[in-house]
Amino acid sequence: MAVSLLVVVLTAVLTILPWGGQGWERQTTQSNGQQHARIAMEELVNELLYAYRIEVNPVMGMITYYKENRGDLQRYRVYLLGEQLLLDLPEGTAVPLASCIEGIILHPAGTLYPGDVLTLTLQVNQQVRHEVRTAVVAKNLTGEAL
Amino acid sequence: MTRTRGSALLWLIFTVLLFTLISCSLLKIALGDLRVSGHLVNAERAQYAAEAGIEYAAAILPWQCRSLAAGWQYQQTEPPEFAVTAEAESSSLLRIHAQGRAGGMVQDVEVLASLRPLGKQALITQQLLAQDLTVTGHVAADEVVFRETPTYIAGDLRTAWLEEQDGGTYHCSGYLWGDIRPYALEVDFIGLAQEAALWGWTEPDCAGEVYQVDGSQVGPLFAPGKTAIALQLPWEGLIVALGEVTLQTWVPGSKVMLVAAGEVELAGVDEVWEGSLFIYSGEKIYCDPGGQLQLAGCLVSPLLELTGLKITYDDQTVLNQLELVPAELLQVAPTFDLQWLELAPRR
Repeated sequence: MAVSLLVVVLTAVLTILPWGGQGWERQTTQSNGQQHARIAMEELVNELLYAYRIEVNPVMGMITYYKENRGDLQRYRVYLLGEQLLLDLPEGTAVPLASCIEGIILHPAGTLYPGDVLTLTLQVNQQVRHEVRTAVVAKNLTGEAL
Repeated sequence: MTRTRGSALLWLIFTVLLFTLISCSLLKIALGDLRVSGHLVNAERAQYAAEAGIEYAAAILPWQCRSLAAGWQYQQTEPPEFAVTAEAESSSLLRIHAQGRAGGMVQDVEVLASLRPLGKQALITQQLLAQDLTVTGHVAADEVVFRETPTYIAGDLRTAWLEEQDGGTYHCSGYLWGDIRPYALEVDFIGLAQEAALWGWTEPDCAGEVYQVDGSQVGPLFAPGKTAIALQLPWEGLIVALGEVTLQTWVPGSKVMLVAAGEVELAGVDEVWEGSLFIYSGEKIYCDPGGQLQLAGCLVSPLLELTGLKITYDDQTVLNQLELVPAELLQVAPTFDLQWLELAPRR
């Protein structure tokens, strides 16, 4: 009786285990990609929220923004290099924000004005096939007359 | 054979225990992830609660701008849960700090709030008669009539009723608001006269029943009758006049706040009045229709009859005279310009 039960359990387990393992691996990769996208998105939103000026170039997948530092506006730039999302700092160095990012979709294009909603979509690489989208309204934008 | 009977059961129990252990571990990981997600959600809720606190303060504090020197605080214990404090950095600048709370998470937000005592409204009136008018700033008028030549408004137009007469048109770059608060402003000139007597405000020289302001007097000035302003020197301060006023000449760099009970005439022709000019008239403000006048400031009156005027909103003179400004004028439509501070810059 016990032998039969053991055989049944082992058969079930050995059948499910490799399938579960593959699923686990797949989910880990996906989760990793999503984590990268989430971190990138959080960084981007946090940076853009306090920007005083934002210029968007959807064709190049590039956002140039300016933040105040000790009374001066300093330039930052976010862009994609390979699958890495990089941030150019005012000092001239670039730091990685996230990996596994295949594409960045931005809307609208050009200089943003107060109240404009910037929609950001990050496409995580092909293995994961996932998109993360958010929208941000920068709080300190100035522009036009008022 | 007999000795090994039952070993399968042991293996079975071992296998079941092993997988129970694995399941428990996975469950623990999942619960951990759930907790992390909960923290993220609560952090977001706390952030929005803090922003709600800032917006709450920004909505009510402009109306109390004179009584904020000692600071201000407010706490809301119902969701969104926040605590807000405001400290005056100067008479027109506040530092507002809000702390939002949600599910044990706390988020802080801070802004610098600059007072805009007239809410960026360059023209505030009951009835606006506009011809060849260019406004950079909002316009608030119960009724607007655009006559003959086009009017340009780089801002919002807030009016309940508008009419285009004799081919007059308008171009407004902002919003057109139909639901407005009707003009109901009346300055208490009796109170102002008492204040002037109490504090010994300067009375300008009177020549032929007209008080003459030339910029040589020390402000604030109180003119109890008809007044002519012909500045010879850059002048900064408050002028209260109980009669009609004619603003004849201007000196660049002047910052004049004029509060008049009677009509006010802007007599500049083809001139640019650099500086800052605020005018309140209890009756009417009008321009000499013969030419073009350009100025920075704000005009408030039940009737504005403006022809050939180019006005850009500027409240510097009001801010400079904030302690002396009649309280009624600070209740028209004050707002704040908010500068959101990044409390912990990441880079």
